[in-house]
Amino acid sequence: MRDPLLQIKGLKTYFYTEEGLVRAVDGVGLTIGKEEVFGLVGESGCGKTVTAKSILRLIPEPPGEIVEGEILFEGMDLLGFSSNRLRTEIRGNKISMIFQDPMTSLNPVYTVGNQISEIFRLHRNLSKKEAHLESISMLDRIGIPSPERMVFEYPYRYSGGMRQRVMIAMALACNPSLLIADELSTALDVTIQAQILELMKALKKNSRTSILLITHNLGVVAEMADQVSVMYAGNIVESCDVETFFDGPMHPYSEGLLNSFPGMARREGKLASIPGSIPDMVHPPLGCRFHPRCNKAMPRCSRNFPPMFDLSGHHNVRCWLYDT
Amino acid sequence: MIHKDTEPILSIKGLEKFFPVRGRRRSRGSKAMIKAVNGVDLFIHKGETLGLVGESGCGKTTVGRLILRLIEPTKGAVFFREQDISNLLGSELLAYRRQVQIIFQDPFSSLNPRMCIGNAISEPLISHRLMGKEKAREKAIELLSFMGLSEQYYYRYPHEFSGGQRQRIGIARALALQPKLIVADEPVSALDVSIQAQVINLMEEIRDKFGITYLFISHDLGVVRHISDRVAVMYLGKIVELAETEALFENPIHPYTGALLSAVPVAHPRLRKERLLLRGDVPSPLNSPSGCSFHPRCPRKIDQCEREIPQVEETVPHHFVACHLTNGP
Repeated sequence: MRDPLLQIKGLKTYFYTEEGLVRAVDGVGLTIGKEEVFGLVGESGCGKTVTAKSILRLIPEPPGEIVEGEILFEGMDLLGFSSNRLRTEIRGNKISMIFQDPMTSLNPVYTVGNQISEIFRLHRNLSKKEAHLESISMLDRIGIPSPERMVFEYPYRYSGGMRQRVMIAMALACNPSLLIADELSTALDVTIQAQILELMKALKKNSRTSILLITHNLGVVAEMADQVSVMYAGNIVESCDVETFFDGPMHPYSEGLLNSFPGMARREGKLASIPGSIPDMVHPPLGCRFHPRCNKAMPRCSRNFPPMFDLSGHHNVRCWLYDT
Repeated sequence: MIHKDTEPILSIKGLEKFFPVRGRRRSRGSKAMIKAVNGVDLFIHKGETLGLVGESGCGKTTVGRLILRLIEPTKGAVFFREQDISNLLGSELLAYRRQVQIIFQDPFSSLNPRMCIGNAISEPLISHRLMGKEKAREKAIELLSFMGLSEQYYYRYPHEFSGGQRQRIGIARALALQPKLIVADEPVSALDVSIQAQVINLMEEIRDKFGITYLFISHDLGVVRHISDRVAVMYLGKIVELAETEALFENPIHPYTGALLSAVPVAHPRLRKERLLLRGDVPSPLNSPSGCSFHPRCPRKIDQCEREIPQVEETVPHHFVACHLTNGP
């Protein structure tokens, strides 16, 4: 186990909506080690993005609210920070985030160079000229052809893969100790996705950044991650290291997820699928939230919410099957 | 391989579709054209599932739409059971569309938000004058139950359903006319993994039960490998390789196919590897490169590639490739 960089304990982020209270993140705990790539996996609506945004306190309040929990970063509780301190010390400096959609996260009316320079000017107090040169070298590092020219172009001149690279460059501009990558490569074609993943691996080698990798693509996790946590309906249901996970996950949901992933294996018979669909988060099922879809459900699963069971070493599973 | 020697249910010959670009003129008089589909030959056997893969913008959706005649080709023809469909009119075209249906990519925009889903499914039956309202309603209920949705959903509206359920409604609508061929345009790419598997299994069940032929368009190679009997790879409006699924995935011959397969993330962390990385993006179909359109990104380019367009040849039996490296001199 590496030294922890970020520890989340019992995080609860709720949204007050017209339909009722949505417990989007309901008691999430995780630990990201130094220089570790941590994969957070789950389907849409399971709360992975809300978890990430809670770390940076980017949850819009109202309707959202971080109700409970601790987010310890290098030993300091980020939830106790004033918004001013958070903005100047943490966001962009020590923790930065790459958002899901590269097409909409760049400002269309500023040049790309402008947007990268802004970070250097704000966070590293560089002069205009220095920031400009620094931006060019950044574009060069991420493999944008003829950076001296492209630095003056607007985002619409960049392809999807290039924009995603720019997002990565901006996130890494201040050598953060934690990078949150939300669905880094989902909107991209496979060949471009491969380029982005290789770029991330190369940048990772040269820096000491930890990465929180949020994705629903298990292939990306197999490719990049050291540790894996699986989320379902606001909870983490399984945590272990990446090899253990792909050798055979223990939670029935993780198992279903892994089996229904077609991967590149030879085709054989039917794909295993998980029946039903993700629950309504306003009225989540009682007991274990996965029990209505679980093929191993027992009577107690519909009554009692399971705790995390520690199987061996650092393999935790939230499932009554492992209650001994 | 199933039905290898049966006659093709659909064949495509020299199909081209160019879209004019508004406001851009290359030289006086001649308009710039996006060559979305640029000379595609293809045949689909009865009962098989043909996968069509490629990156976004390669023209695979356009091929699907041309087959349905939702758009008219610039050149070339589509034959359904040896009948040229390009000149069908009125009732003949309707009769054709009874046999060929489409499932769209986006389950959120392909259903009319103001039409309850029962009516969405029974509408084709009524507008093709196959049955009266009452009968059509019964048929729609039957289809709904086959999709795993109970009768009580008949009068609900699309917004009340999840993505997976909507996609099943789209499939039910396509099935209503008992077509022979279904063009499935990225039917699962908008869905979550666990739901994807449900829909794929359902599509396979339908294929086996009703004897349907699929043209399965997707960019997800894992899904395509699972469902297809044969796979065609498209790049910039052209088919560069076509083979039986296992042959294509085990022994890709075209360098583009090789790179595409190498780009897919591994299935297990112990399989992490150095990969064959393609440089750059797909060129714009507005001014596609000379010769082989893949040559600017190709790791194994030779001089000939810049000058001559490679023809599709049967390199190995049942394995078609368009590449100068493997085509004879």
